[in-house]
Amino acid sequence: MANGTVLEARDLVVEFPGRRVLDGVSFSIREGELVSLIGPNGAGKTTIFRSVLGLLKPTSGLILTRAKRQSDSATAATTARINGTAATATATSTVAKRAFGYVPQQVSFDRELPLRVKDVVRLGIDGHKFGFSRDRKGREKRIAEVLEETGIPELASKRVGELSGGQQKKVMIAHALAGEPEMMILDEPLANLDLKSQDQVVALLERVSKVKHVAVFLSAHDINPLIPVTDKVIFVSGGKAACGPINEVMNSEVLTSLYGHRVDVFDYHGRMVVLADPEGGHHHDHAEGHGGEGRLNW
Amino acid sequence: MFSSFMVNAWIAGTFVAVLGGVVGFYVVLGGNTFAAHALPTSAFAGAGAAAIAGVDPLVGLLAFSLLGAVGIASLENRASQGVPTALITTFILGVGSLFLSITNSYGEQIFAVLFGQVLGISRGELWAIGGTSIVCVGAVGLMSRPITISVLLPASAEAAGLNQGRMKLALLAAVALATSIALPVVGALLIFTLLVSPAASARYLVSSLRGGVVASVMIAVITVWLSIGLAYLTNLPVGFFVGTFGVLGYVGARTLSKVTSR
Repeated sequence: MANGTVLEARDLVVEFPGRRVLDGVSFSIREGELVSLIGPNGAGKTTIFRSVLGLLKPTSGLILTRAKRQSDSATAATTARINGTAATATATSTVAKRAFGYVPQQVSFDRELPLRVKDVVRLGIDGHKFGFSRDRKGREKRIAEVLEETGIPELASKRVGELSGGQQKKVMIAHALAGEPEMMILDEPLANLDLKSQDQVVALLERVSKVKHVAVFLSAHDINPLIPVTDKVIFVSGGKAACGPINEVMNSEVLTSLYGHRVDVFDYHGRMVVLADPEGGHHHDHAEGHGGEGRLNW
Repeated sequence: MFSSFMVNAWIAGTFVAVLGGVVGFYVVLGGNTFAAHALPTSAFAGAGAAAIAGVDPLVGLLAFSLLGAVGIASLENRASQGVPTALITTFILGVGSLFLSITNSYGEQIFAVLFGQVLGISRGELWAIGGTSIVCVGAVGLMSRPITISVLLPASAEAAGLNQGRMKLALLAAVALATSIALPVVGALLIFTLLVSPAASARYLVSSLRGGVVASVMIAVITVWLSIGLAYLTNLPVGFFVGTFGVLGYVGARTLSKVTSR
């Protein structure tokens, strides 16, 4: 694994009964990089995340992670070969769980829930640990730091259930950051947010990657809000994936190759519009259901 | 009101209230109130099994409550919508009715199991209630952070390496233990009130996790003390007062929350 790389996937294959969800997917993510995972529903985005997090045992392939050791400050390159055996899969998941902060797509909090913003952040620091906390002062200091970094110190004592969707998303990002991960994985962080909240979350994620040098790996249906901040895009479709800078992946040639039929990519006032050939089989049906005739709107 | 048998009642009631307040907080936090209702019904069959086997009823209660907890934790998931819990509850009630039909001594224990006999607690029972309560509260305290993240942020907990099935089983085992210990005091029908009402009321009164646990315990203790005192003075069942204060406390907390948030 190259120096500075925090995650590398090689020839990842995941098969579910009756279908191959990922078919030889490869990509790498470096520290401080913001990587957008784009693709239509059912393309395998969540499967990639679950494989990286160690929650799913891939059929075959290789995942390399640079895990941050909790016992000392040294980092070590850790290699795990996944060949379908239980022992190697367990080793992979153990490494993955120490390295990543995860923000799930759907989190809902009741208004009456006795849970303040700082409680959620606190759970990100040591919520998975048994026993009683020993370093309370250090923990409280860390909570204040993270709330400052994410720009929500004034919300510390608010009930999280009373916050807006955009504020709750920031709280969850603070929760994931609190454990000082090498990489943050965010499942559809912009879903169900208004444009203003989307901009705020994107700006926050840019700060996390560029100022904190934490790699950010997120999935999205629409690349457009992320174009200004994305270092690399992984476009996944039909089990295959293309990985690289936006202009090298989001073009007609690469997407046509991925889809297996003609796909056109246009620049419209700085926004990307992707159109599929109306004769393009099942993808054409997908396009009609979302963005009008021939438009692929994921 | 403070003669020796009443002192036992006050002490046992306090232990049970603290236990119910702590365990109940995590039950309500995770929306496991149906399971908390189901497990005490296991006592019905557990007492019957103990009567037939000729062992201490507490052993039967504990064994059947834990079996119920294992069954619910194994079969219940996000998609099952409480169906396994309902089926296990009715199955255990059926087993209890079977035991009732084949033994006479069981019938004499039914009233005590269902409604409790707080004024008849012996010194030996007091030690058992106190010791088990302390162990159970300590165990829940040690697991409080993993239980909290598992019930509130299950995806994050899973990504952090916590086994969701095991965490649910741990919580339900605590409920089973609390149920078995509390039965002599408030009975199977009313332990649900102590597990749910104080914690549900606390949600409306405080905004933090730690404050929620403290408020839940305080409400539970006040409920039990008032109930025992009034039961002594009026000669009415303790369970009647526990159930009444449970509902009044919950309605009062909701009303107060609505009024203050305007």
